[in-house]
Amino acid sequence: MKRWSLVISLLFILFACSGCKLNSAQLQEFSDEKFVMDTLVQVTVYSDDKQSGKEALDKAFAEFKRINDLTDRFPKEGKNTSASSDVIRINENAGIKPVQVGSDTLNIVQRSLYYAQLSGGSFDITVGPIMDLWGFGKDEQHVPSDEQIKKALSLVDYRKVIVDADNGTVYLQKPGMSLDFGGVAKGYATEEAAKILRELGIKHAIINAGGNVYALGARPDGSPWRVGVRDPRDGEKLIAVLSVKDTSVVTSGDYERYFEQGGVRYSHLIDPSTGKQARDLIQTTVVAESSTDADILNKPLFVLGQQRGMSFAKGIQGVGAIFVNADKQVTFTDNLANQLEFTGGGDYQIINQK
Amino acid sequence: MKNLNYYIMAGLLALVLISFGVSHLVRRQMTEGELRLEIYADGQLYQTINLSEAITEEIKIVNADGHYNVVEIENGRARIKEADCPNQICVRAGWISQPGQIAVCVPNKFNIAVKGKSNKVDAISY
Repeated sequence: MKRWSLVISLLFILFACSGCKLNSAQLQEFSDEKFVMDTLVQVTVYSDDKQSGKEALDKAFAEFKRINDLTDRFPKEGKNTSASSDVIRINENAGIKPVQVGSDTLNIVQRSLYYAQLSGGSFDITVGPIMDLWGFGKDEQHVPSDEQIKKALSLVDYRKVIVDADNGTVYLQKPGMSLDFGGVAKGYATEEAAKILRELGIKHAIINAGGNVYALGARPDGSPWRVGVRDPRDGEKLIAVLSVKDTSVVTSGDYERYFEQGGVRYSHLIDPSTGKQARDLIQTTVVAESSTDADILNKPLFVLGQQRGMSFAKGIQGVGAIFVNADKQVTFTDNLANQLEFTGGGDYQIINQK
Repeated sequence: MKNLNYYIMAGLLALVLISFGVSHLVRRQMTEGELRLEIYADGQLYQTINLSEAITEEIKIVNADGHYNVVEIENGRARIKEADCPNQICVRAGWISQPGQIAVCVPNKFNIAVKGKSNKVDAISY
């Protein structure tokens, strides 16, 4: 009897302990959010170790901060921003001299110029003067006169950005020109932060930088991450859900940064060729491996509109896109068919083009 | 001696049962996880509200710089009803009710988020 009870007790203890051990080897979720780059950045990583999980989060946020400081366009009070921001120094020296910049800035400028060329200027990083005129970025929005727009547009031209990759310099040829990384910096920072997480051995993570999403690896259970796309006319709902692994999903819409004047909505999505709002579409979503590309590509797609945007997107390898036009008609590139489901909410009409 | 053994065995059994009970409870809480609203001011968690059981109410939160946001909660959903920020993006975000949804006020460093288990989505692109 004595021995019997002892054996049973031991078995119980063993059983209980094996339970503990199994639990501690499991992946744990670590999540944090911070205000960086004029937006809310949320990072979630999975790690089996508390310290590495927290370290990964800290390093990811530090990367966002670093890219923000490099690309910030507006000087901040009490901070020597022209020393830290490549963009401020490039803009200050427009028409004066080439400026030595870091490799990140060089990468961003080169990538941006590539897509500017490819889209015939539907995306342009020299839109600084026109964004300032409309008051975006400074929260003093108003509708400018055609005369003012014409004047500002004379300073918008990506072909006047001279990059010397060997010497690491960027030069704006005309005085008054200014770079605006608003359409690319978040995507680039997201991509760099994801790289750092990978280097730290993180296998599962999801970054959301103000709607700029990057899904690293798969979910801890191996299934794809599910990324929702906001309903462009109802912030409480989703229009679609994308299943993705190692992929970025970025959405642009006329509902985020806009103001109304005389009953008309003026969004921050401005056509660099007219200096005015692009109005064919109300939302675009780009799915791409690179978060930088996904961020950039939303702008030319939005500006080009549903038809021309579709043919432009189809011409780029590995890129998927969803378009919602002002009449609530939805189209998407065929390569998304297997990973895209529409929620059926709202009165959207899904018309796919072959 | 025999009695002592019984006591030890009973004690161990009780211990094991309790530990199972606790872990079961914890796990249940984690999976069921009712919807909750988290209110963040200046990047810090300010208040958590059970959305499923919340009564209609308005909360005004003033941040360190003296700027404010008013959160309205009703019927399983919440929104930033009012704010003194220049761009009003947070107010336009409207009602949120699903896990993962957020309304953010960058100028006032303020945000609200719906949290809870959901097999729907892991992140929302907007």
